[in-house]
Amino acid sequence: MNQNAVEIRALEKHFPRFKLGPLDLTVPQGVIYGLIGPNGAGKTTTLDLIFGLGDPDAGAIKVLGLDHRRDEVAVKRQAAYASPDASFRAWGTGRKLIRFVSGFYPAWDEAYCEKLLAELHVNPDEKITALSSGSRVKLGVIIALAWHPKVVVLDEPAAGLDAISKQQVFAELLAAVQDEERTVIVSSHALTDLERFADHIGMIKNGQLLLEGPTCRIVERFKLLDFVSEDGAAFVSADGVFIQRHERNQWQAMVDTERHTMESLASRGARQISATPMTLEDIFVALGKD
Amino acid sequence: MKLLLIDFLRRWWGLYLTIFLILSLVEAIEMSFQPHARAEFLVVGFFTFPLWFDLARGSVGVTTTLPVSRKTLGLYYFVLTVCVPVILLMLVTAVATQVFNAAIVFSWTDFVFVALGALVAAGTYSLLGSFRPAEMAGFANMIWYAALFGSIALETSCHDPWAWLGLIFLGLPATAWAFVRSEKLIVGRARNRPDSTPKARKAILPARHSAVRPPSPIPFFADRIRTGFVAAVILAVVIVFCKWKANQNLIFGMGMFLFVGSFPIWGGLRLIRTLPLSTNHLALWLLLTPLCILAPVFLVFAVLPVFAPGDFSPARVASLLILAAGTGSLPNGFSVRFGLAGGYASMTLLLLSFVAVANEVPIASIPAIVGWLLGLALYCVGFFLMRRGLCCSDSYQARKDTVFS
Repeated sequence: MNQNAVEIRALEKHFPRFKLGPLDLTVPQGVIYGLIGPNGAGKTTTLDLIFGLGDPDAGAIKVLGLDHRRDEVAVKRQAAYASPDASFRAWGTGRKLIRFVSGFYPAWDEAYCEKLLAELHVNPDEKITALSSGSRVKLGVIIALAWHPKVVVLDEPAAGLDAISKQQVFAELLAAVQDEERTVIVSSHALTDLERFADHIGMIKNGQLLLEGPTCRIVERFKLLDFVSEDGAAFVSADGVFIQRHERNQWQAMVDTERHTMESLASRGARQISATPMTLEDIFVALGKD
Repeated sequence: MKLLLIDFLRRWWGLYLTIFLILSLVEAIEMSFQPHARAEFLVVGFFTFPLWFDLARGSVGVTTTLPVSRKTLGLYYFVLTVCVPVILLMLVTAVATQVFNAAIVFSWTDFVFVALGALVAAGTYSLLGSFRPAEMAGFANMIWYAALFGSIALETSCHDPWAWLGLIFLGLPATAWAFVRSEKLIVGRARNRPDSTPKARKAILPARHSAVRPPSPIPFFADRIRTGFVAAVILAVVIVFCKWKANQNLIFGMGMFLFVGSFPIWGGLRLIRTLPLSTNHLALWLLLTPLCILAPVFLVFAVLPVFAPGDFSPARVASLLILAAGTGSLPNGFSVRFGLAGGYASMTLLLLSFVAVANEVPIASIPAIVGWLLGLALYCVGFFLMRRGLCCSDSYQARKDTVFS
């Protein structure tokens, strides 16, 4: 049972002003996978394509070993999707929406649903239009979790949530992964939370996968180095060195330690090197810059 | 699909029933003044309103995530856009003829023609509705109007063999294509994103404006006038193709439908609300929108006398224009306060009222000066509604309705 939850191979999708891919992505089972990237990088498009909302121009997507198009219904029976773009207004109240959706899932867990509603402070009897945008997002997450799907795909689950709600949502996702071996794929800009909760991170920029791997390894991989050097050009052009700022001979750069060691930088003329650990957000900002 | 249909009908049965009762009544009244049965294909579109409302509320964003194939979803929407409206229209026709006007002879040929016409009209609407919202906001929206007007044209030629041929060779393929494309409707709307936003932004936001100079309304109105011109050209083609002898009531009715063209700005109201414009200024912009769309259309009718002398005088056309635009400003005003649903609901009521009285009070019999005064009075009411709506905090709320535009 070592198959991956989601496997994306050579995925491509062309838009008039944007091209996604070729993209390869692997999401192992039983993890929280954080998909991050600047706005317009292709995160939501990727998630939509995983879920069959749109057809890819090339490539293959497998969810739990099933082809996302050929086995569309089988995939949807095991995977849930919550998007902040989904509007529930047509059902009037959350209760009616839940009643409707629950009819499609034999595994719907009413008690669990009620528990989530109570914990996340969503009143299902209130009109959808009267709910705050954060509550609507939470309602989408609850509906996605309440039937114990094997894969949960969440697009921006933290959008519009306050800090407390954000913590609660991520804690629920963590519980789901720990208790039930579910896989959660989250696209989010809440990088501090992702760093704490996500096991794996994939970063997309301009439709291309920039880096992918376990969160702790990614955070350890990049270091912020301050050093003195008379010849900055040697670093500006170097692969894996991202200059953050410099003033005369003082330099600060994010360095990919898999490509450069302190010694290799020293051999290029860097002196007085001091390293500082980076947060996921720091790494994201440094890599996301054009 | 059964669950989807049951849920949909449970949520919208009230609206279906309301439309059914009103249409039955209107048709019955209309037919009582006619010596023969009528074939109102136009009204089949009313039965698609519940679905459009549902789509506008973003329901597809939920249904696409359910364990149901896209094909099934496509079929579900085809049933709701084509099959259900046609069945209900046939019921309306049956009630209007057999219950209220038993004396009218309604042959099987009439019955088949109405069913075929309704199927084709509903199929055409469904087909055009399957295009992406961005397209719907532009050219395809205009074709939608043309199809609508074409169906009115067909209404007047029930026993014309050309109408039968047109229905079979043009309408049926369109309906079949609609069936094929119904899946696209789902995919196109699945993400419920305001796809038209870049276009709307381009049209609404002036290209250059400084902090001290107020935004120029010219690009905004130019876009509306362009929309109207496209509609006018297509309309002219339909009229010529159908050899349709226009009457002024129908022209006014068409003008009413063109107000749909101003819908895109409703979805983008939050955006234009952020522009450095006073409430009065903005209300004026919105108020002039129906006029900008209607003007080119009525221009076509103003030119028609050149080709068909004796049909209309320019003064008559101008009075019709102001009257129709004034009427159109009412749903516009309601939409600002109550959103798209309010706009559509008030437009439906206005249209039904119009259909009810049109045959009894031909617009041609209204003096031009009355048309002008009534139109201006309606404009004032529209302006008042618009201003009230803009002052209300609800108009600031984000609306996902843009997808409908």
